[in-house]
Amino acid sequence: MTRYRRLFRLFLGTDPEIEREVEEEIRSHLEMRTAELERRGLSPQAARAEAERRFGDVERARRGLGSAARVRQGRQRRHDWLASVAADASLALRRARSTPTQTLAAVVTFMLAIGLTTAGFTVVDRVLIRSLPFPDADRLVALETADSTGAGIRYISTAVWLDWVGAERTLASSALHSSRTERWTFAWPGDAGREPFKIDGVMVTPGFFDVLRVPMVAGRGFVEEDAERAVAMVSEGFWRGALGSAALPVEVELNGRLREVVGVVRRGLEYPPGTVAYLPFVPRYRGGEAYNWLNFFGVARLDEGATREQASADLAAIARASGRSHPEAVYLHGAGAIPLRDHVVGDARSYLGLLMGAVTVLLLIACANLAGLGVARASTRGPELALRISLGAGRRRLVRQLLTEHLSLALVGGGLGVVLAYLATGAVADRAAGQLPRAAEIGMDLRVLGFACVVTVGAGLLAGIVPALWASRGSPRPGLVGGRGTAAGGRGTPGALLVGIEVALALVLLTGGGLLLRSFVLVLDRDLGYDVEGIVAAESSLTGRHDVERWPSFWAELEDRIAARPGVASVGFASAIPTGIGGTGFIEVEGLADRRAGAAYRVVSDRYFETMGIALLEGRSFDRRDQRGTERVTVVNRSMADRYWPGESPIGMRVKAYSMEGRDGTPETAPWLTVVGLVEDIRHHGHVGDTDPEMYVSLRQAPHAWHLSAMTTVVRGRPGLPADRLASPVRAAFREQDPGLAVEIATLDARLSELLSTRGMILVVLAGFAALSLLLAALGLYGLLSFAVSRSMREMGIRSALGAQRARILWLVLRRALGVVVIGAAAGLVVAFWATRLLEALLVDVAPRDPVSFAAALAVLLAVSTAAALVPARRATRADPVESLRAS
Amino acid sequence: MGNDRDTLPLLKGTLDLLVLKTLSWGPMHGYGIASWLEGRTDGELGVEDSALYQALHRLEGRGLLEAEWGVSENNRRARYYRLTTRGEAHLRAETETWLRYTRSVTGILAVTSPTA
Repeated sequence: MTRYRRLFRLFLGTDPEIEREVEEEIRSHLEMRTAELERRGLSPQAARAEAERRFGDVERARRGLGSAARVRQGRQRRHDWLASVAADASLALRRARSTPTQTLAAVVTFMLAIGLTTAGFTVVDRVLIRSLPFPDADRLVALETADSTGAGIRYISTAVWLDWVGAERTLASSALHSSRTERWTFAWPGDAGREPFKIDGVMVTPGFFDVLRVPMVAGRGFVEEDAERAVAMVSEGFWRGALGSAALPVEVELNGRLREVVGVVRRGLEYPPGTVAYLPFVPRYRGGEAYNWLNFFGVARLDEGATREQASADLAAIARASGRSHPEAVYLHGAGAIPLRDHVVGDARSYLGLLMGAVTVLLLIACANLAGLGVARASTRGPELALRISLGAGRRRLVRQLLTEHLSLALVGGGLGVVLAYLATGAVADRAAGQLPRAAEIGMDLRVLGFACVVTVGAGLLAGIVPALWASRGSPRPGLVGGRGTAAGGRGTPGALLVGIEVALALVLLTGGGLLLRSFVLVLDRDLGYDVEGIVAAESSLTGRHDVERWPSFWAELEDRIAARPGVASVGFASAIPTGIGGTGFIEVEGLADRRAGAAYRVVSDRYFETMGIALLEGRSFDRRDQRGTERVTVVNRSMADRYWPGESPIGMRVKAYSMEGRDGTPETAPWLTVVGLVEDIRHHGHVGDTDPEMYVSLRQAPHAWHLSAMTTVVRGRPGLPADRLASPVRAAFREQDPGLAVEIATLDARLSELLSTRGMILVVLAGFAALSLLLAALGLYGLLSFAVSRSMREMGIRSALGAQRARILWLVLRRALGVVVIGAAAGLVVAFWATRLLEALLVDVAPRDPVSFAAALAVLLAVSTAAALVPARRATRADPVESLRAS
Repeated sequence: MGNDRDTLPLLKGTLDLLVLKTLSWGPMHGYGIASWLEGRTDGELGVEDSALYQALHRLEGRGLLEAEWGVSENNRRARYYRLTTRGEAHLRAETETWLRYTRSVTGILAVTSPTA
């Protein structure tokens, strides 16, 4: 009877035996009736016929009896099966209680492995797999255009969007939102006593909330007419908190202007995530250069029945048509609609994938460790198992019983692991809100619990199958004779293989961790181009405050006030500093006909370079010569000079920053700027970013008032003064200058750290996994050797009685260990060689096959393995020769 | 054996009760139950053998009877049925219900005048 038919019958109860029994019962009845009738005088044939007639419908009876018997049989079998499972479970429980440390170790290992895997899945499920929390979120797309190289660019211009709105046929609705979350000043109107503070805000076109179908907690979304009115919308958190759930419409002051809040967005459904306030705007700029001002993101909802491909094709056709009639447009070579979720998730995909991979590796190592533990335990039970086999326990029954033990441990560990995962994901959701997209949505639910169950059962089976199969395979005799049986860890046991696998996997994680660490260190080592120590930066915005005419003198006065404070060495201003957001614009270089020439445009004060420690390489910086009305000058950086004037000095060359300075962004209306100085490159986006071409103009010469609206103030302290001590004098100066101005102050160091925080976090997590896996592998190795040594203590004793040196015995044991480790490491190296390719996206300045990192990982592994092996090895050398001779 | 046409058809559920009662004297096989019932009622009640066996297996499935194979009086293999404790309890309860029911019905049917 094959296994599958037995299983089948377990639940359906088909059995030829049953048919036979039923048949026999009927036959016996007929025979008895026939005999009785014959005794009364009928002939045998007549008796038989009468008996059958009296019986009734034999066939129906047969069927009825058969099915009744089968049902009974099935029920009985299931009952027996449950009883045997219960017996296994209670045996497992008893055994667990009799070896408390092993049980504890197993449960803790399961808890960690299952807990981490579940936590990882929770994060990945919420961030990568699930749809965004909006209704019908799969119909939402982000819009993009393409440049001449075909590269898709998510930022779009209002001009192309207006073209789309007029002509598209596949979208149900679309809207724009500003590509940068801005920091707006919020103040309570009429309440000068309360300090204003900054909140995250986004400009949106009126139909924005209809596209997303975001439900309102109170009030309404924007409508077309709102663009003319002074209205705003806020998030639920802000409304309940700062506004105290005030009845709408409620008046607030944003960026100096009074506005009415007309709607409140439900918590968790703000888009972009984390937005606190929304202001309406109506896109104005069309045609010509406006096609090149990429300041917004576009979101849209697909029409019923329209696919993304259709939408992409439609939008691309419209964009290209506009591009043909506007040759100055650079980004109209194509268009596309990509799923909004991909847009939100972005980079996170790569490092979440890494996380899940690391967690899985850890789980496998843990299972291998537990399997090894199981094999060791099973081999100590050699005699007992042999006895059971000889008493007729089927192999399957033994396997099942051993599996039950592991499964029960897994279940307990899994339950605790789920609790651990719950705590871990709670922590992640809180702390990672800045770095991880959709962090607010992270939470456990039934799907995650289902996953946890599957993983628990899988881990239990995986850990248990090897010891179960191995332990139940043997012939009973050697064990029964009362000898020690085969030593686990000796030849022919899977223990060594399991440890080898663990070593290999641990090496893979170590290598990955090593690569990331090396990359991190190298990145930190990069020259930023400016000083970091001892400098603070203050962000403030004059939008809505004071006369626009007053702005230049405002900053000049503020500079004097701050410079007067003790401890301040110098003060500078810039429209954008490194680690802040920055803007690039199109430029025209005299003598060059490159339509795509661009550079970052920065408006700075005279002492900016000095304050930031940016080196002046040639020419001069800005000074009193440069006033409004005098010759327009600019200072460029090395990247810009190399790109546009390679091989020669840029001093004296001329350039126009037309998208920033021209009226309507046209080159004709922009003035020529003469280059008077060359400064060193800086890395604007922190350690990880590249150096871009940058051009600087003086505060006093910036043509448009809005260039001066939001300046970042940088303050350098006297040498030796820690940067955070500058915060209060700077804040005091600001308050003197303008008490109602909201200011955010942070050290440059802190701002840089924040940019690195995601990388840092990934590194810490991965390093944690690598360390944990190394620990597990070391424990596995230690356990294996320890067991082998205790089995062969007698042999060791004899050896030393025969005069073997301690060192020789030590070497004998270590040789075993090294054998396992070397083979495992070799396998691990092969896997790592292949696997680290996957890290490419995250590695900066380091090749995926960087030999230094590989060597380091290998060294760490060998060191830890040797340490793990030394303890049992030393125990072997202490084997007492007298004892062992006596014992034989 | 009386003429088939004169046998009374059994009311639903009655067969089970009769079987339980028959087995209250001790274990019997199917044929034994059938011939005892026929003898006892003088053939008045028409019990088809197949119906009897289905009743037996049904009662076994409900746990009111137990069955095992044994050897019959004439050295044949036969399946013997026996009351379980649950079966005994069930028999007592159902018997009481039946007697109450029939007493009431008989009481009304025996009345000769509406006002008596």
